[in-house]
Amino acid sequence: MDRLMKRILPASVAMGAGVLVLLGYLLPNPLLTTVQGELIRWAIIVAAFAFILGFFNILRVHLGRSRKSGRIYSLMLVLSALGSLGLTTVALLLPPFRVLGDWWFRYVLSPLQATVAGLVAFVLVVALFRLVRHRREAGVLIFLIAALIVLLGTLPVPALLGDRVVALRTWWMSVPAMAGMRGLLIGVGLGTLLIGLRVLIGADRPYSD
Amino acid sequence: MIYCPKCGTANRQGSKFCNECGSPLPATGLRCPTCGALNPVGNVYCDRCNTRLIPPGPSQPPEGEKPQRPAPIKGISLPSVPLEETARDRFSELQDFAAEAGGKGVAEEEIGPLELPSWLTGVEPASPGETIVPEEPSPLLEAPDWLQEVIGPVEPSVPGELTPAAEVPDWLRGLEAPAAPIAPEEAAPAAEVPAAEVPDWLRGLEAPAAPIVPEEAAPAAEVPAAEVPDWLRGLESPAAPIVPEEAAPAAEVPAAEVPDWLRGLESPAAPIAPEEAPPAAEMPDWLKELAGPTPPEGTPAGPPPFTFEEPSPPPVPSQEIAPPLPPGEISDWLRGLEPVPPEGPSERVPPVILDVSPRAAPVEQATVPPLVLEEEEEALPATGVELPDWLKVLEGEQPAAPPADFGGLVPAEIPEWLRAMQPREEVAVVEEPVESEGLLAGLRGLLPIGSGLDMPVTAKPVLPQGPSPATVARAELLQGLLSRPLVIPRAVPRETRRQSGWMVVRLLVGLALIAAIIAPMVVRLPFFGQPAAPGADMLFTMVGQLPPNTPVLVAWEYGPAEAEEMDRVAGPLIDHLLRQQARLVLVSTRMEGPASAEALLASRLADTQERLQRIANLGYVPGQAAGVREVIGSLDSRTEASTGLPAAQIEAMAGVRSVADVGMVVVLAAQPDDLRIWVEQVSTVAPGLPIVGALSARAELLGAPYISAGQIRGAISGLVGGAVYERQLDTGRGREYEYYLTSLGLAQWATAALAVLGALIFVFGGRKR
Repeated sequence: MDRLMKRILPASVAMGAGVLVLLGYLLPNPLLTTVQGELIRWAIIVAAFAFILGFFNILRVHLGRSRKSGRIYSLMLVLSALGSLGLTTVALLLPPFRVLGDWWFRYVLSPLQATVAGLVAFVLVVALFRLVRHRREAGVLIFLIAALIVLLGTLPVPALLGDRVVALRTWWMSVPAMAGMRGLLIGVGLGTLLIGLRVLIGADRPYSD
Repeated sequence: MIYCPKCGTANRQGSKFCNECGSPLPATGLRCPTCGALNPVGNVYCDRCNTRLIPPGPSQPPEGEKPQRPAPIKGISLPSVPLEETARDRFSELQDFAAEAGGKGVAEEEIGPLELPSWLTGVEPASPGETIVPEEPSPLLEAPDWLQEVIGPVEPSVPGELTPAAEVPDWLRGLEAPAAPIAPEEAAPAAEVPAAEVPDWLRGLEAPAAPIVPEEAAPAAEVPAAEVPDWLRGLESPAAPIVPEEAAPAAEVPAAEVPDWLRGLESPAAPIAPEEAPPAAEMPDWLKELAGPTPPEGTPAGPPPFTFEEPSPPPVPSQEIAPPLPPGEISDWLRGLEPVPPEGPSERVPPVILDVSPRAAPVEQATVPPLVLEEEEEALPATGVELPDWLKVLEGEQPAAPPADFGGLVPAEIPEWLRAMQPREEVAVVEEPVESEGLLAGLRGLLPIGSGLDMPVTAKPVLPQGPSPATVARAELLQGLLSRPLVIPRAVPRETRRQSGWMVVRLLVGLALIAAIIAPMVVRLPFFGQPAAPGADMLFTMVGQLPPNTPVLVAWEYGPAEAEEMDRVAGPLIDHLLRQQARLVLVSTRMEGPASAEALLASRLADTQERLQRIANLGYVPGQAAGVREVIGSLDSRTEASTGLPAAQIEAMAGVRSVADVGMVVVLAAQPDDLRIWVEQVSTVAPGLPIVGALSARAELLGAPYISAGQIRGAISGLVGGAVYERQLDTGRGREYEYYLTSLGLAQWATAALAVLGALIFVFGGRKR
């Protein structure tokens, strides 16, 4: 019974749903298309509920850390999450308070996220400096050359390098960089296909424990 | 059946103790000296191995003629074999006993009761034709009290009757101890008192007990040496200087002093003696112990051989021989020998006897030799009045007057202390192991566990060995680590320098970025040239070709984190679409997407009515690719986020049910995956539908393949692309873009400078890692 509930039944549901959605793409059958659309809507609903579960999970984890070090940050996170939830809910349910929701987004969330993104730029620059300082490898050299080409070619200084750097950057982005990116995209496509097949045949059961 | 000698109860064959009175029962058979089998009484040959049980004598029947077994007598314990033969056999066996007594013991089961053996009981003096009744004691006048107690009630007799030596059995005469003063036997002249008359075994007692020797000498003068059984001679102590029996001439032994019943034993023994008499060197150990210290030279070194040669009696002075005691009196030495009645039976044995006894066996277990038979296995007939043949022989040889032969003595029981000295056949009793566990616990004689069973076959004993060298090495290492003092590593100045160096680097990076942000605000830096955006022209052309009121699906895939960049990229494109009178249907797979869109559109369309006519924000669609797939197929089934109205009721959504109803799909993606998802899903649902994009600099690299493949018709990326598009659109935000481009250029140059600086530090002074 335990095996049925934990392995056989979930695998059967996943494989059946996958096959039906796949058939809806392959066969122009209205029934299959309807079934496909319905299963996709179910997936969206389930994904929406996953956010709710994630929200409460964050609350549970950080409330449990109230006795440990860094509890002040957990407390702030909990208060911010509950405040944002309350403001957004009120703004959605009560139109007069919609302005309050916009204010919260524009003057709280946007500056904070922009600040974090700005820190990413600082971290990347420091990492680049450390990389070229401590590594003596061919890859590092290539990376350094590419970085210089892209950085200096994006906004060239005509008095120093002229348009040759811009042309070099354009070539770099359209040939070597695009080749590498296409390889990545092909790998992503093949990996997606393989994972899909494995899930359909039951070899991979990410839904199972 | 075995009849108890004490109570007469019949017991089963093989019983050791009487079922009625608990007395020990005698053995009922002849034990074969070869195989050890217990043969019935009267067997001449062993039933098992056919070994002759009784040595052949002169009167032995011819070879091959099986001796006839006489009819057993019930009621008395007499041997059922002819007396003549039995006597010879007994005599031979007595000789064997004398030779083997030291090495063999009598088995416990053969140890009889304290009573006189049956064969001795049968020797009780009786007139010819008179039925022998062993149970009926005869008066023993000369016997001491303690002997009389053993024998039973006796009639007092006249002391004078005891005078003739022949009347008393010689071996019992020795028990009569005259209360004479102590005198060595050597002093007795041989002519007056033949030394041979003194029982040899009592002579042996003389040596250690010097004071009582004279008392013992008196009966010795009356008892010839030949009258003493050889097994009793073995008790003689050869240490006594008066024991030169070999020197005693046989002629001096009066024949009359030999009891008739023993004479029968003498005659057949004579020819056998030279053959069966054991040499002195073969004397048993216990007899050697009895012999005491080595006698002086000239004296025999041990008991005489079991022959009838008359040893020369030692000279015993007649004056030192005590006269016979009156009846009833007990000599001192006999008093000393008289056992103390209470306590244990062993206490009845005089200490001197105990000292010389080879075995401190209990007196109760003293028994006769195994050839002395007690009971016949078979039921004895009731005709107990008839004597066996061998007894009849004895009867015929017995003198008519019992007093003349036995001196008034009746067969009496051998004192216990004498029985203790009687040679016994020792049978090595092998104690069989007792099962200690299991169902058979307590049983003996079980098959022992084989060596192959009690020992493990494969498991070999693992002998403890010393630790291996590797173990020792590890132990030493551990010990060394533990013995080290705990040293807290101090901060190395080099590390401090390193930390401070990194702080300098971080500070420089921070200052460079801050300077790149602030510098364009302060001064105008015109040294950067015009940027280039290869896809901006195509995008601008496509958007410019859109007919008015064309619905455009806009995938708003960025949030506040990327808004500073994406607003500068997506802003000119949105302005262009609005300028083209396009209706925008906004969808986002990111939660912050709808809010980011509202923030941007709020700066573009202030009029709410116009906004509702031109823009429909369908909000957030969860589910990533599935959400994209679902929403592009059912755009009109959703709800407008800003108004909360159904999307179908929004004017901007007029005629739009799915992605197939829009004229263009614009993807505003800050993350590469968002661009990929939208391209994949839209391309499969609405192939041929133009897809354009406004990408972040991060997503530019991923969009390049799609752009080159034609799946994305046109796209701009980054601040440079937005600036290029803005320049083409010319919405009046050129100054703003110039500021951002200058700031971006400074930051990028600073970053390139730091990278070069790091490489130079590595090459000229850096360390390898």
